[in-house]
Amino acid sequence: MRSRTFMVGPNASGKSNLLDVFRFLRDIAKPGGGLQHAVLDRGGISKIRCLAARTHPDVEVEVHLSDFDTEDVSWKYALGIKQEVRGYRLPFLSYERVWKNDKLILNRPDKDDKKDKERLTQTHLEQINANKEFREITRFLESTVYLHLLPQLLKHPLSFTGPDLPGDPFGKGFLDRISKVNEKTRSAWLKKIELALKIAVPQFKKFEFKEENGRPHLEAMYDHWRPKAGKQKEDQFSDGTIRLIGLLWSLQDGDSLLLLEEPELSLNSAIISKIPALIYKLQKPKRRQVLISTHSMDLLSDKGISLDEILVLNPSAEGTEVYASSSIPSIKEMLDGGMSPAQAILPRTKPKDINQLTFF
Amino acid sequence: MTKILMQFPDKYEIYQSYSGQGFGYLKTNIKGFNQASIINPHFMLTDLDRYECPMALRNDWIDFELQDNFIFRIAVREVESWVLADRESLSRYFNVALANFPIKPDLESDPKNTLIQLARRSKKREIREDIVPINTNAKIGPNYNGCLSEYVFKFWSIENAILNSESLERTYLKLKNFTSHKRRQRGL
Repeated sequence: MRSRTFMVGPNASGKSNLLDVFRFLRDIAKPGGGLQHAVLDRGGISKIRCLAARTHPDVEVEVHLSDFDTEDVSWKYALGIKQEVRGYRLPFLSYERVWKNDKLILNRPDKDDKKDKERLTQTHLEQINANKEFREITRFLESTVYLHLLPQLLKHPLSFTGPDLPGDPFGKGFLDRISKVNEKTRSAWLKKIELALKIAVPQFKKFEFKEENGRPHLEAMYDHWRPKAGKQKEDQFSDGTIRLIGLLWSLQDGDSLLLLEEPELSLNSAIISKIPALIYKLQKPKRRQVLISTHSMDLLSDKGISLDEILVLNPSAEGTEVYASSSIPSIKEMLDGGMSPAQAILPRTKPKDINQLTFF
Repeated sequence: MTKILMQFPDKYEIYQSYSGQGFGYLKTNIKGFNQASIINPHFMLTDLDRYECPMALRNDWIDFELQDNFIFRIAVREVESWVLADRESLSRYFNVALANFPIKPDLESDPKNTLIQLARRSKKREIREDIVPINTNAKIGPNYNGCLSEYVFKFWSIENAILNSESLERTYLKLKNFTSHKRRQRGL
């Protein structure tokens, strides 16, 4: 995958699941995480395994890591998980392997694992004692950020009670995240967002971070015929405004792998078409990888997107196949003929019998 | 188009379809599809619309060399003419007397409108509601395409239609006689 990768495919083709692979590894690697947690949070092996799998499936994950914008693989991490066939049906490792520059440095199960089967319920990735040799992988994986901000959660936090999800994927604690950043950095980042909002949101004037009764808030000023009026808090912001703030914030916050789920939602198409360039600009100085799932014509109309930055997911009876769009010769030719990536690729992701949708 | 290609089940298999959003989309992208025909055959169908004659459209759209595997056809005047061309079954479907249907639909200057006017006389409420625009601010009815494509898939017969439409017949023959050049034959 490139440092900026877009994923397209029909509904339920597995775009979010592909993003979830990285969240899963993060949940294993992060402090207080671990294999058991990561699997249980997802409802057990039976919810993780491939829909087309046969009995006693192995769930396997292998990631190759290289430096930003290079092709050489510096690390490889591979993981196989099975479920106990009796007892508590706990997940356990069928293997765990690590390669550094193509040299195998960890190969489990090893002889200690054979003596004590319990050891296989935990990965070495999650254990500081055991991951000394490849802590770089752990550091990378644990800092993965996923964002699929739901404006409603932010506007009506009290209506969505219950335990918070690990990693706050839907942005319920988004404002807390903002308040945790030190003041100087925060105001610098917010300043940038303010600049963008001034362009994107008509009548938008100013934008501030405030704390009231210990609760963080965002407050915006809009043009108003009374000079002191026109203030609104985040619970009155439009969905698009909130999502744009979330997107711009998360692109600036952190330098680790960023997973964006359909960043185009609620946004005006003119703004959407600028997202790819925006991502490029903000990821570059941080040398940060961004993976994006999308359905948007506007987003992929950017001719600056290379065909190998777009992965096409194609569901079939035996599971979903993923391929880079550059591997399809006719798409390449279409671009030579002046078509945009969106025009050449997106029609391929539509369901076969879509025309009959209105028949029912 | 799917329905037409279905006439030749052994010859064509639809590998990928790009449904247009009107002629603007096709006009912008014709070069791309032509280029992609180097890899496998492509079939493009467009309406003649306001052009004088098919040649005028061709001259306006195409300023490059056409690939052998690119089948470019123009429906005279619109693909609706082809739908109208199977007079008998459409008259049955609309439940409107056969005498009201044009004998030479290719000569209709606004076949879409002819079709809508015919639907307006339909005794079936569902057809009237789907096809006829709700008011003068809409060009077509709320489920125009859905209703007509259902008709085409279920009842429309190309054998009947080519008897009344020369433009459809030519396309039919073109597809019938087409042989893929060089590369292996593999759908569209």
